[in-house]
Amino acid sequence: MAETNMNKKAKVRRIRHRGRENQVIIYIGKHLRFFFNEHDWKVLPMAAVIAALVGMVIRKRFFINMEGSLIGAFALTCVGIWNGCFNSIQSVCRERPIVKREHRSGMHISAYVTAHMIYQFLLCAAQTGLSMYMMKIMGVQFPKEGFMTSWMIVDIGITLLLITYASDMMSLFISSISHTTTGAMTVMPFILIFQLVFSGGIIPLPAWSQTLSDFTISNYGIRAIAAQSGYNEMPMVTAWNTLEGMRNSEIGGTVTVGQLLDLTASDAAQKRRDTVIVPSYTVQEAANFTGTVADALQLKDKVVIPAMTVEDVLNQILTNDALQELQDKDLPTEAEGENMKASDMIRLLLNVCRENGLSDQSLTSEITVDDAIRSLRLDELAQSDGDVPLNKPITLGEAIDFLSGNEWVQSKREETVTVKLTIGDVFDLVGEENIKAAVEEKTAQAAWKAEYERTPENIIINWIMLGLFIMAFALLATLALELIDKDKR
Amino acid sequence: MSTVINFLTTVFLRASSDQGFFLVLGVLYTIGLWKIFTKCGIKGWWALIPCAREELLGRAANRAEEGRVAAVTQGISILVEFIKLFSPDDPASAGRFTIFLNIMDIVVSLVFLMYCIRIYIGLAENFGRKKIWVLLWTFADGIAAFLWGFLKKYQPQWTVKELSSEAADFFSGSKASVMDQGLTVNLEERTATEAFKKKYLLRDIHMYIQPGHMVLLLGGSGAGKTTFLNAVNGYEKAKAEVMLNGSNMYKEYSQMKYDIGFVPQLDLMRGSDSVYRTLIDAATLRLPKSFTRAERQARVEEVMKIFGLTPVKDNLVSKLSGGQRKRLSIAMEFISNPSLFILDEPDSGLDGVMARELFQQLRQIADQGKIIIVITHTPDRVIDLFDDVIVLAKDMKRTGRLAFFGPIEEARTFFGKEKMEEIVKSINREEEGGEGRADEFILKYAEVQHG
Repeated sequence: MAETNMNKKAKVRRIRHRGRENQVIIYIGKHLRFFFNEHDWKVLPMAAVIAALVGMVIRKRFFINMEGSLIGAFALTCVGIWNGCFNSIQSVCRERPIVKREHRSGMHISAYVTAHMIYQFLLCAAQTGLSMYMMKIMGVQFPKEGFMTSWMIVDIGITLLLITYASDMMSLFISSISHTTTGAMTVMPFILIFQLVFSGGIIPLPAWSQTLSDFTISNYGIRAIAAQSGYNEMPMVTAWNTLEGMRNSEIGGTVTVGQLLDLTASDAAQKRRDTVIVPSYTVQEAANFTGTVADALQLKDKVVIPAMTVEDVLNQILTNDALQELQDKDLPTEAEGENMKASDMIRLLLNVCRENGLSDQSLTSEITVDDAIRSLRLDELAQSDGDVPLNKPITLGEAIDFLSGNEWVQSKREETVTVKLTIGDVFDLVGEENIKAAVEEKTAQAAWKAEYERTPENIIINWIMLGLFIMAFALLATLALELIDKDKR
Repeated sequence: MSTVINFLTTVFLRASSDQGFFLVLGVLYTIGLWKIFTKCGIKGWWALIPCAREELLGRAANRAEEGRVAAVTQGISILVEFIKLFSPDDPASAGRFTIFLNIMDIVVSLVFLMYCIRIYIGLAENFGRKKIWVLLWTFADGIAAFLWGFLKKYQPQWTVKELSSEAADFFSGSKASVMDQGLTVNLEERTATEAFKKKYLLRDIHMYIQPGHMVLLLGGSGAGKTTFLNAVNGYEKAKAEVMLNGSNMYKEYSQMKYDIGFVPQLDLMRGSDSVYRTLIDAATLRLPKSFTRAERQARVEEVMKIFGLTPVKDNLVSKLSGGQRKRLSIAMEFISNPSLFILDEPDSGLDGVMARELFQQLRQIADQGKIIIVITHTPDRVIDLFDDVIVLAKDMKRTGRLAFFGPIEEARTFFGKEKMEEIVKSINREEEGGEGRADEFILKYAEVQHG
């Protein structure tokens, strides 16, 4: 039988020990000593090298066009996430048994995590400062005027710090739930891939994955930096650069005149009636232009006036309504007092020619478009009067009106035209600057995003979200470490 | 109909009805497993039951934990297959849920495969075969199971039995007395859940240790020595009553943890701190708030002097020798002058002279009225410094039980052995190189306690 004597139980005197605030100071000291003595400082030069590499890539595009700004935002976010993750991914798991020992000796987990938070904040701030400095000296063109502060470099720095710190806290949480450094480093790639793939910046995401994107640090980081860099106010150059790269590519095909005319009746064409499609040409330009158009439309060998035989000429006189008066005219014959109609005389002449095999005799040679252009002697004119303006500018509306009101053009609707020209020819015909402006404007409109709009609300919301990530992961790390007693020894 | 047949063949034969080769393998596997189970002392018809057969194969391979995980993953796999019966076959029209199921199926199958490989390794050990057989088991388990099941030369070295013994089922039922001074342990049981099964780690351990006693904790590997110490110091609570100097350690753990020094087996200290910094931080954590800075520093100086650390006070911990580190690790706990001092293999990594010096220091601490419990694997060189010995042993059900507690001389008489290492050998299992007499001593000691 147990001999329990509860009356003799000595009452435990409540002894107060040092609280969390003292422990925080102790652990900050330990982290700082680890920083200097165990080469934890390596993360600083690593951050500088990463920032320099990224700076080299983005320096000519960041803050200059939409694509450059988005790539810059993505790259900066990657820098922050990378630095943050590798700051703390091993920080708890490498000393987990020590933490467990100290916890059983009276260490408060909240004090331990708070010390980590303070130390990691200092580390992240140093890394951010270094990164921004490296980018500056690598030639990234930060605008001088900031949006939230007086300097853009500070604006971007705050966002980068929040991204780095949020990632740092995320890794601290992973480190807190990992029992070994190997375990933590195994999880790390999945986290990085998740952050980068579901960032929603560079990689287009299906609608269902938007929810996942909302749980990534990268999403808010990219949004904040894109908004700060004025993404929506910049031109988009990819489409134009692509087009320019295709300058020598041939385009064309066979279309009917009717199809071309219908194009002029389209809404798009009508909206651009005031656009000058044929500028005022000098004689020299007209000479070049005429040849280019004839080449493009493959008209140079086209016969304008075909070769005519004797019979063609005589039949033309007999059938042409314009020559009716001539046809009806009485002409004197060799027999005195007898006249003969001109038409009869021509028919007689035609028969005579046929009988004598003269009807197929050519009277004129054929004339091509090229012959006609050359007969204009534009080259000679260009040499003497090359700078003389030849025409007034023609707007699209004037051209449309002309084409729709011209009976001859309308009568050719069923005829086919083979168009063969390079994209460069189109640039020359329409005007390179006009096309560039239109392409950049339209693509920029298409790429506009509300979440990247440069407003204080947008930027602050993203900063708050990053702040929430920091708090949430720090809390999770604390909760995870509170369970450290459950570890197997 | 064909879908249902496919499902059934997948569940029972692990291949759909249109996979001829795999279906044959599935049939061979089931028949072979029937025979293997019979050889291993398990009823053969269990080979027909999915999940159960994986669990039993794990037990036959002495990999019970792996067997349970394999059974559970197999169950999940079957459930996934069942749900997929109602999902469209065409991947293009499959919804996100079907995609999720497919991913889950692959992940679960991989986990299942990994645990099966571990079971096959255990099976190869049981059948005394080379590990190369694991390859055949992995890629064509049907052939391997058939061969091992039907050929007489493939025989297991041990069979699965329901473990039971008189000692495992006998409990003393007596409790140790609670006194004003000293340590009283009345531990009914300490359990853990591993691979979905409740496991008894310790049972029926009762003792009273007087103040000023230095106690040796003996036991074979896996006997539960560290688990016992963690239960005693309140860090891993058991179903127990642990009273130190009249106070309940479990109920007042937050206060009493400062009165217990636990020195772990490994030197868990930060290499980047100096000796002095390590101790002053330990003092700040462990000593009461009423201690002034000067008092803390004085205590650190005193402890450094006791443990011979003064000459290296400014050295980084990472630069210390093994013996210095061990002394520092003990000094960290000693700084708060605890009543109960527990050390888990403090002499590991130390040579005989240094170990002796360390234990002599511990004896001096005990002589100040402290209770010291020490685990060591080389007890005989310092046995003269101890007062009592606790002997823990695994019973037939692999539960840690008390085989003896009392003075050293009584232990020698009780076990009929002169040396402590011989006592450990006598209670170790035969396959561990011991005499396998654990149950005998557990029962004997329980009967002594029971009166």
